[in-house]
Amino acid sequence: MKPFLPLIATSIAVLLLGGGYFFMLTQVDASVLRIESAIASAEALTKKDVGLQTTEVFLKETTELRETLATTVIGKDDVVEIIQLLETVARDTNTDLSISDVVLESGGGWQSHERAIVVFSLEGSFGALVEFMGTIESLPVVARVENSNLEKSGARTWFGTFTVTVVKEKL
Amino acid sequence: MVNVLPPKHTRMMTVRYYTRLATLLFFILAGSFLVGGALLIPSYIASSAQADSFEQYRDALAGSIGLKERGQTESTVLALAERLRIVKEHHELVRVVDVLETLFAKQSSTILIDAVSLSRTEGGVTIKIAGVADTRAALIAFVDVVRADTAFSNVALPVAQLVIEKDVPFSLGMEYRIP
Repeated sequence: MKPFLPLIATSIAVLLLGGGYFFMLTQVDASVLRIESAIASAEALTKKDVGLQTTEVFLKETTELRETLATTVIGKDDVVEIIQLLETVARDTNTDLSISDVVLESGGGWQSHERAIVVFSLEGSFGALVEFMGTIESLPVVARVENSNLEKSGARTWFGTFTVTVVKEKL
Repeated sequence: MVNVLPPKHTRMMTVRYYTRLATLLFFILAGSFLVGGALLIPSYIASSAQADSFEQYRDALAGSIGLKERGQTESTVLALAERLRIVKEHHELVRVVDVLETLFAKQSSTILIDAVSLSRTEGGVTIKIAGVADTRAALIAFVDVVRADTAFSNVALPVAQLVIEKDVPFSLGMEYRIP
């Protein structure tokens, strides 16, 4: 047994030192992989950061234009403004307005906007009703007449029921 | 050369020889692993430090971008794009007043329209009108004028309405699209 002791000792030393060597090797390899992964993520994030910075500059440069554009839709808390708008147009066109329903409808592929659907009736001369519809669709807000049913109700008067949608910011 | 040693001693010497040779090889191998491992230590320390540093940089960058995203830049742009689409679609719409003006421009003194119904459809307007025509010929002439305008399509006049010759009550359906 004695002549084999150095062989056994060196074998154990080979196993231990070999294990240590391969452990170090895998650690270095793992660090290299971590560096590669971090660099790839950092590059992707840098591109995203550049994109966001460009977007921020765009938003800053177009602030005034966006504010003007914002006036084309009714603010999210301004449903009453829609009713007041219709009342003003009715007054200006000498028609009798009677609002029967206002409903908010989301959807239509919109995330930030919704439709305010207003159902109302109107009485006046034919010209006045047409002027009312024309004014509604010419307002500097996104509003349109969806349905209208006009009927002669007297010698010079017409009666109409209307459905108008006005775009507003989503609540 | 003659080997005078007994075979038992010869075998023993051979075994010792190979044992020492293997021991020597293992010793050299162990030494190599030791030197190799020692040489890897600086690389290990440097690469670990570098990896930590890159990961910290990446995390800091992600944090800064996260802050910008939380600043609603992306949602503002999406809302802007949506608003632009809405305004564009609105400007491309058929105006109901234009439809009425076009239709009533075709009305002669022999035709009296007393009811109009307009309903917006995808890309156009569906129209229904009702009224009274002085004569059957006046009604047919009115329908022909409407049909001659390419903006109006599917102009439908029920034949049954042509039975009466004078003071003909009629109802007419059609569709309007921007020509």
